[in-house]
Amino acid sequence: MWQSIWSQLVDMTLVVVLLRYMTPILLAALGGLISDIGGVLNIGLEGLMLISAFTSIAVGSASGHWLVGVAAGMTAAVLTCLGMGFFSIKLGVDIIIAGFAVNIFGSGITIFLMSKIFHVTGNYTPDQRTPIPTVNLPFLQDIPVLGKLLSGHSLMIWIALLAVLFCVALIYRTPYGVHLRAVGEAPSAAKSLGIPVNRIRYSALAWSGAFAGLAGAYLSMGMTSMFVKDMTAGTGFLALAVVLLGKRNPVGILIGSLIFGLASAITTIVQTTEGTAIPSQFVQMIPYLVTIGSLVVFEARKRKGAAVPATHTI
Amino acid sequence: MSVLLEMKNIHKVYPNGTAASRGVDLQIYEGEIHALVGENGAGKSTLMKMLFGLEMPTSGTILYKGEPIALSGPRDAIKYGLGMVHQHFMLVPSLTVSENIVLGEEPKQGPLSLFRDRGTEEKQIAQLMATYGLKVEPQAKVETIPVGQKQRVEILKVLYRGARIIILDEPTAVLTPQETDELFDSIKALVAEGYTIIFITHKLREVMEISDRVTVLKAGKTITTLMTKATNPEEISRLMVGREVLFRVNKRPAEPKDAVLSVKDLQAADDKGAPALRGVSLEIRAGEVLGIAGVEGNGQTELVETITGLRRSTGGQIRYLGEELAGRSAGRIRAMKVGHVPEDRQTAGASLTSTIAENLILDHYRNPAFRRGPFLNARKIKEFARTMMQIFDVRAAHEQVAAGSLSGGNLQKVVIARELSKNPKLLIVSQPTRGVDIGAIEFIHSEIIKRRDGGAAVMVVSAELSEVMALSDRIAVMYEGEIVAVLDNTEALTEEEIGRYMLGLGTKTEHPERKEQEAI
Repeated sequence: MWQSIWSQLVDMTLVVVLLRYMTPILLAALGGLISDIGGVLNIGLEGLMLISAFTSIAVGSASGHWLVGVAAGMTAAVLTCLGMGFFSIKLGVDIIIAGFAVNIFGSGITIFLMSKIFHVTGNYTPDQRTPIPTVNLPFLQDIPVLGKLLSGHSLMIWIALLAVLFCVALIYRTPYGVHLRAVGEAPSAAKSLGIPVNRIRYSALAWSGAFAGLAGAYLSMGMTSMFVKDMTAGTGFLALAVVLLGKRNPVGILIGSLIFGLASAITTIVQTTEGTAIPSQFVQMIPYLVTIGSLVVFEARKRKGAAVPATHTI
Repeated sequence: MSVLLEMKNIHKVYPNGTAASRGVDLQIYEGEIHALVGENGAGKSTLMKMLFGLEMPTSGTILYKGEPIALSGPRDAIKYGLGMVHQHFMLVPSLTVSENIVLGEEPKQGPLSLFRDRGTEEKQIAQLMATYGLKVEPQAKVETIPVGQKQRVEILKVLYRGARIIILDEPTAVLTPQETDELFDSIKALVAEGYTIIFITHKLREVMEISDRVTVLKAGKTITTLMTKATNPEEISRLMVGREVLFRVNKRPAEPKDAVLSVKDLQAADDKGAPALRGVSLEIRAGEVLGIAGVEGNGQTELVETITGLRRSTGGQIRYLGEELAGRSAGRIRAMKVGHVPEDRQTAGASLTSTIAENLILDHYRNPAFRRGPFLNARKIKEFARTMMQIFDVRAAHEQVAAGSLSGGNLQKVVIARELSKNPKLLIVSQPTRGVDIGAIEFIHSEIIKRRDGGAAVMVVSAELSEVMALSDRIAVMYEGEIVAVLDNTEALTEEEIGRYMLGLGTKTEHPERKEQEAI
């Protein structure tokens, strides 16, 4: 058993699996990051991903083109986010509660629509498959190890990695990014300078919807070719943990996503290896143990930063 | 000089029926420093909000160079060259100084002007700094710079937006004397460049020092506008309060008895873990006021917090009536009749979302007098609160008003009422009158002295040297976590002498022989 796992490590299978698992976490976490920076932390990532996963595969197979599907999924997620914005920014509902509602709504509405439109209950596999294309790099794919490392990935994996750079540019290089940070941290200061605080908050939520939408589309049209009820299985919450770990920084988010992707990849590899002695229930716990562990480490490090805790805040 | 800005018969009634302005007239000449004074609740802040477009007047007109204008938002105000430096800084802590200065008006570049142009940003800020002599570090994060610099950032922000009229809302409230001097130099430089300054303040000394004219507000109305040269502090304060105000605290010489608190070689760390108290020893006797003077940040905050159990000491002793306080919780120390008025009433002194009544019993709710079985006795609490509000002159509609809606002075009276109502044997008061108006200052000071005469040991910590000198019988000066001098507060003691110790230019400890005796 260990030998088999070792060989998969050496021939880069682990890295390939890791990238597959990392992608939805990374995309959703980037969305969460932007909303967090804008002061409207979107905890509805899980629900948004479900909504997008369902919409994109349904529209994708109906239209026959994956791009239309992805666009539809993103649109659905963005519209849901604007709805969240309406409730939280306009009507004053706590953003955490709005996020909770979206999580419950996302799970319910997708099951409901699946049964109404496709008359299935557990999962939906379209007849016409429209997967997100994979990128095969000519020449490179023939090189033994490097080829496996760089070629043959879903387009969405590359989009996710480019999204990190996009977010760095957006947050640090544009006036919009500075306004976003100002609105999140000191809304009254931003307002006193004539920055449209509410509009920026709506936009932050819209960004989170767009990224969660990409993540959801990847789940149903990249990682798999079907929609399964509650198929996110906590990915949105892992992404949320990454947001909290990532120190409000896209690169931190990338590192966090890699850690969680690695945990998920190890889980899969151990599970699928023949003759595993470890009960699968234990193996499946790994990503969640990593979540708890990293949050503890993160908190402990933060405490260490302030040796004597501020007394008034207790 | 021509009239640049004029407010005529401004009224402002808030939707909840509060009339904040009831006929304000204000004329600002071009190129003058115009001080605006008034007690808390006189309507200064509302007036400024209206000038800055954050609130619209209910009636009345605002004229700019003789033309009526409507200000419906900060952007409009900026258009007419009005810039405001708020009392509570409007800065984004995690952004850099230069990001804060250009925020909302960033120089842009690239396709569709999508990107920030940091080169231009740097150049423009360097130019602003050079022109007005306002030194800041453009690349430092705002959260890491001292208060005086934060204020300079605010002023640069306003200048960057092309403001010609700069409103400063209590700019010196958070500054050390040196920083205040620097601020005044900058203000004078700006006026020399043709800028107009509106200066809101509580401190009449500053009005006299820097302003050309002064407008007095009371109860939402303009009382009068005076030439500063032709008036004096007594006249201004009489106009503000409506009666004569005593500038000196009336008190008899102290009659100190036995030591109530004796602190020996106390050590503690600050929030970052650096040593803040490096062996502080002091003694307060029943019936005397010990004042703690010092530039803020020299360990005064930590000293108070350590004695009151809010901060752990790392060494030394705190003996209170023969018992050791170190290691006890704040609640247990409070139960031993130690009263504490914290320096920040907003976060530590009061619960802003609770009512006045609830704030008044925060320290007493365990007392059987306010209980009925396991429940609170609402009737008793109400009675108590009403009595306290009457004695301490807390001005509010009733005792169920949220503490957060009170003005600074009224809130401070609530905190002081709570701490004094327990008849403390040791009373520790930090910044008793920060941001409090003149009438209330007089009252708070006389209450503190009354407690002293009643036999309590009192410790007063204040950033205002004049306050420490007015209240104290003895003054201990702190510098870098140590007490460098203990001085008897006699007529002969001058601000300059204390100031020398505050800057660490000398030491003087009282009765070195007594230390030896105690050591034996």
